[in-house]
Amino acid sequence: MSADTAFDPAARHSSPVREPILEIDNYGGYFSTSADQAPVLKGITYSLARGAITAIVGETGSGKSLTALSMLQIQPASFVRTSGRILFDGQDLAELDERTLRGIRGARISMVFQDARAALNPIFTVGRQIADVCRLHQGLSRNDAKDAAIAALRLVHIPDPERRVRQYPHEFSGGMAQRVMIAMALVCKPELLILDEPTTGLDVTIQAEIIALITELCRESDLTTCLITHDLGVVAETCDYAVVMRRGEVLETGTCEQVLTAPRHEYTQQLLAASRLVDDA
Amino acid sequence: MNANPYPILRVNGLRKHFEVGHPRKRLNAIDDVQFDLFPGETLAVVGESGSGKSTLARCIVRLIEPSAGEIELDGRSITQLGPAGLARVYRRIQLVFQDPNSSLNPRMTVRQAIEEPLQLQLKMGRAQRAARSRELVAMVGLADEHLDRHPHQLSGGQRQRVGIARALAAQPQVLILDEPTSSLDVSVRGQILELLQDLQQTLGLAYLFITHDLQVVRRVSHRVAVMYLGGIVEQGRTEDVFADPIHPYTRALLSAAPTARWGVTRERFRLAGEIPSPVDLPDACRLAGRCPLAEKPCHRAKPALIPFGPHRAVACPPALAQRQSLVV
Amino acid sequence: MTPTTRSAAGVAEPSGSGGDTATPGPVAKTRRRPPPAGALGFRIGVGLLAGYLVVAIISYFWTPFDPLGVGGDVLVKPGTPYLFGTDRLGEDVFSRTMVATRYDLAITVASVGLALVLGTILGTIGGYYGKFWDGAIMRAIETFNAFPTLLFAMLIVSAVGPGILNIIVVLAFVGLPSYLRLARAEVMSRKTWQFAEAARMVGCRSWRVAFRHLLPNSIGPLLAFTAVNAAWVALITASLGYLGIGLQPGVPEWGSMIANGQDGIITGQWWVSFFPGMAILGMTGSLYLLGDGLGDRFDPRRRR
Repeated sequence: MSADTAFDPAARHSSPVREPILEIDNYGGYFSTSADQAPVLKGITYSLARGAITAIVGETGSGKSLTALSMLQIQPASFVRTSGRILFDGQDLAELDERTLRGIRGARISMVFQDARAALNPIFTVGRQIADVCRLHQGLSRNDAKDAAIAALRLVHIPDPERRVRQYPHEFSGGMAQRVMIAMALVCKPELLILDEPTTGLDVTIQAEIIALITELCRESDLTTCLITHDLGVVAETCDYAVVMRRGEVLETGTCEQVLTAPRHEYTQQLLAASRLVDDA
Repeated sequence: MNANPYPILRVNGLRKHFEVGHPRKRLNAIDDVQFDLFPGETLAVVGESGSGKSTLARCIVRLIEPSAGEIELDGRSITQLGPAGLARVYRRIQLVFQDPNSSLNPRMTVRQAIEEPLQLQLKMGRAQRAARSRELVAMVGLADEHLDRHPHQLSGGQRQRVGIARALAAQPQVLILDEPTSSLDVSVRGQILELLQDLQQTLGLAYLFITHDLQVVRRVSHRVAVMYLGGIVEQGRTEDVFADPIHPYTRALLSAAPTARWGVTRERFRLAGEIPSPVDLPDACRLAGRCPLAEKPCHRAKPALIPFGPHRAVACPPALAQRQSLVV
Repeated sequence: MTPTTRSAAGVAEPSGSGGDTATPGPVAKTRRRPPPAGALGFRIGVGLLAGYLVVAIISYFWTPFDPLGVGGDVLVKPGTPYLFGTDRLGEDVFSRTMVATRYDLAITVASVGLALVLGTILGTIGGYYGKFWDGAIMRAIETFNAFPTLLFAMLIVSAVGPGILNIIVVLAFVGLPSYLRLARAEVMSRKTWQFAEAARMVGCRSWRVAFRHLLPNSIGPLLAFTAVNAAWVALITASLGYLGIGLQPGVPEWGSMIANGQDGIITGQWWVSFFPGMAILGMTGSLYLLGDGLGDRFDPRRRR
């Protein structure tokens, strides 16, 4: 990750470059279920700068989601790691035992998935699901957890949170459910938030709202964010750094400005050209 | 754009409602939609969820029966036709579906899928079919070898090409494309759009292009109709609407769409709240609850599409009034 | 709302479904995977059933002793020359078990086949056309459901009398509702798939969409169900025989053979009931294994 380019202070919050919070170093592997055991990830290397929003960009099959799942060690069981490490706070996440990992998931690293309404458990109220996260990691009492849940909903700008905390996932629209997921991810104040295609499938106007929310939350609380997407428009609006992936390899990394205005790799150029189908005035 | 003044497809007063839930409530999926489509042009229909655009596509070809309204294809009404008449209609107007995964029968080869309309609709013999199917796959940029493959052996872009070839088999004059590129990767979209534009040039097709992607609209369409909760709120030439959107919803939509350009910050025109449920809507402007321009009359009756200039229509009296006052 | 075919469960597949490669290249989702562990069960099931078929065919040409030959030594223990021993009437249990294979196998296959074909057709009609036809068919089926199956079979067979054809037809009718409902559900769920709409657009009339497009795609679950259902039918056939209903008395049939020998279990002549019982167990078990294997093969989760 090239950390030597200064930001444009007018467009992005400027901060002195800091230690990365998470580093992926030459991570590679394959699926044991595939016939030829071809590697699906090859030498993935990038890092997430503290307090910044990093976008992982790629199309289907690029391995961007798989790498993210590996950060939390929730990748499919058939994935076999052949090389590399994922360093978080000096520890290789791929080597940790399940107990330690459970302590990290939700509390220090959180993840938000694409289809919010599918990711939420339909038989529990939204408040109960958020409260459960608090109680698991922070050992809060039931009432304290409930208050924390209401505060979390308020944080993501869900109106009337006292009432909505008692509602079930199906009573929320797609955009609202996504906000709930973000609230659940942030309730224990993690250091790193990973979002896997959080706006795909949402309406355009809702997408814009969610993106604005994510940006606001990250800037306010110095949260490191890893945003996985295929949409370069989303990248342009929010991110500080970008990592471009294709077919299990990292092709290019750099600041967002760099990647969008002066891409080095041909694929990135193609992707940019395709994303801007029209030359707007 | 063709100078032909007669529309090849004309839709008037189209309505479709469903009864949902217990107790029964009315869902107005399409609420008094009216537009013309001229030969050789592309009219884009844009909207978000609940806008009714997919229902619109199916109502026009009567895959779903409309509740009311008139549809005319090349001057002749098709709303009341029986199965035999409809079979003839499907030789003039075809549908390209959205999801390349589920729009092809997984058990049929490409050849079988393309030859089916040749056999059923054009009554071609075996040799003729074989020759014509080779022509069709070539037309959409595939090779002969793809003919004997099954859908799961093709990529998403290739499957979509097969879908287009299948729609073209009957030699239609109008193609309705229901989000043809939404399920495809970004790098593939451009190719499919290019293909569609080439085909339009070569075959003189008229397209009704349904999408939610404003970039696509900008690129392929001559005119655009913006839909919200079942009704058209703004309609006009694409370049005009994009350069100067008038209806508040159009403004919100255009300002929300992200562009892959660094350093471009756009003034966001915001609407309050979210898209309401389309069930049991009151008799008022559909945007009234969320609109910053809303006035008393907006809550009392639904505004009609008001013409504004030669090719433009907007269903928002306050916005138009603002515009007039600027002009005056 | 645009559905997305991207990252299903976040897992990337090497040759993604959204790209557009000029040649598909080494397609990862090939069907040539090494067979999973469950395939062993499938093979055992098929093997055993083939064995039964062979025995049934052989029984037409040769059995060690005349299966209806009364008068041999009574209640001889299994060994030589009577491999499975003899029963109270002096008939060779082994020969009778062989011959009974014909009947039990034939009844099972025929009644399941009939139920499958009829049920699928009716279910497809009901599922696709909906409203009136669906209503009529479903109401008719529901009267069948009012009765417990075995009881129903017993009642009808008692009414129409013994005979292999009668049993086949009765069991077919009793089993039909399940196939009907399954076919109907499969067709209904696929009706909204876009290729069904596309089929209508290219000129298919309704029946063609239902039978040439929707039904072939629904075969998988149907086949899996058929095998397991066949196991159940085999059991019912034997039960009817055990209760003395169905085939003419004297005709060898596993269920009736068990009934004949059941007193012997207490008094020590276990072999008369045991071997027919094992035969039933073997056939039922192999059908289950077959059904399980088919179910795994057609499991939608394995398809991508």
